[in-house]
Amino acid sequence: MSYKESTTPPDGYDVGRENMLDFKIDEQFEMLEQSDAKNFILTTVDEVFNWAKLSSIWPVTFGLACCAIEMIAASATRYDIDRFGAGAFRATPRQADLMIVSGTVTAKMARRLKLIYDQMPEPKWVMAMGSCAIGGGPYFKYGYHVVKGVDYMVPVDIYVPGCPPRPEVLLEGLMRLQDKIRGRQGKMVTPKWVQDYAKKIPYQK
Amino acid sequence: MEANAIYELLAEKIGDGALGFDGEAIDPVADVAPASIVDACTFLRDDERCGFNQLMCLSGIDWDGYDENGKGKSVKILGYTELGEPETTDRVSDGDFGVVYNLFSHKHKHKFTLRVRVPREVASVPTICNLWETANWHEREAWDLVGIRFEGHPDLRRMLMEESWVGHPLRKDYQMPDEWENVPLRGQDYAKNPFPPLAPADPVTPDAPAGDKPAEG
Repeated sequence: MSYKESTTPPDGYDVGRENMLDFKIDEQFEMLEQSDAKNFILTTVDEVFNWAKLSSIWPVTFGLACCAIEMIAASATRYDIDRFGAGAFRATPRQADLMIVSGTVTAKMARRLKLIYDQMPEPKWVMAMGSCAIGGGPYFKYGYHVVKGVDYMVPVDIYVPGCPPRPEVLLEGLMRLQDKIRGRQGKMVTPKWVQDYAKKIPYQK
Repeated sequence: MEANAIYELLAEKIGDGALGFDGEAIDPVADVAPASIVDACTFLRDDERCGFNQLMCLSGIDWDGYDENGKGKSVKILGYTELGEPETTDRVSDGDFGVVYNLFSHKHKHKFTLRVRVPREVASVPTICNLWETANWHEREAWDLVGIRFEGHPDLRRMLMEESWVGHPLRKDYQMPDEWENVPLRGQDYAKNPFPPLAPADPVTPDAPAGDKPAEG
């Protein structure tokens, strides 16, 4: 049932106004449904945008504890997080996409962390790096001042375990975040070739 | 100068304020009455033979669980349970509080240690921050974490925790907070899965044409 069939013009509605539009939505949709390349333009734009987002993730300069040393090492020449486009650590959250919570989130720091997260523009992602940021870590038992996981304060996209995690693990977490961004928006969550390939895989019984 | 000689000079100066001396310890320590601590520190700093011009450290002590001589095992302090709940207890702490002053002389290259013991319900020691400027922040930290009030301190605010914090965390009877100013400090039950299992995905993808079923096998 098309748009025209499903709705009747209400009283006082100028039907002639619809003919004044320079395009007609229904006809465009019907053309798309009949053609082989349906939704082609829309999904491709989303893919391009996601590719741009994941290729230049700018983290905010935000080091809390010893995990920050590993984060610094990951951005230095030996590991070089700039290979993945995430080497531009911004000094202000208003220019950043990613917040790497690298270290222990104390009670005093938690409110500042929430403030920094709120200042970041959309789209934004959070990576919890290390045991302390994931769940309190060694401060779970007697840490009177430690938030038992940064996901109490802000939503977390990627958890990177370790105490502290080596730079390779941080790079791995970054690549998994890129995978997440790649499938974030648009109808084309799973590429067509992946769907076709998945159909050939027999179900496990 | 040896610590024994320093203590003899000190005992001669403050008289009854000198309560005892332990020369066998790694750091020879003299026990001083709280009322005499300012006189003792002033003497040790200004006397030519002592010349202690630096306060290396000032520490607060909670002697809860220890006997009169400061020996014994510590009591079990409260923490969080495995499920993240703050632990509680009915035990009432009764140990004394103490303050330890570590002194050093750059002129004579010798060290000395003073120790003050106050009852738990008093928890008040005269300040010495007009003798050594270093004592200002050290006393603030001892007040913040152990809760020993230093009488006469010009600016006795909390050092590490925020002003709105309740309690003194390094006391033996400190109970872990549940939250502080809407910041959650309790843990979570990791036995519970925070991520509920997803509904089984429809094998027919929305983009697939009608009638195209996944291969069985």
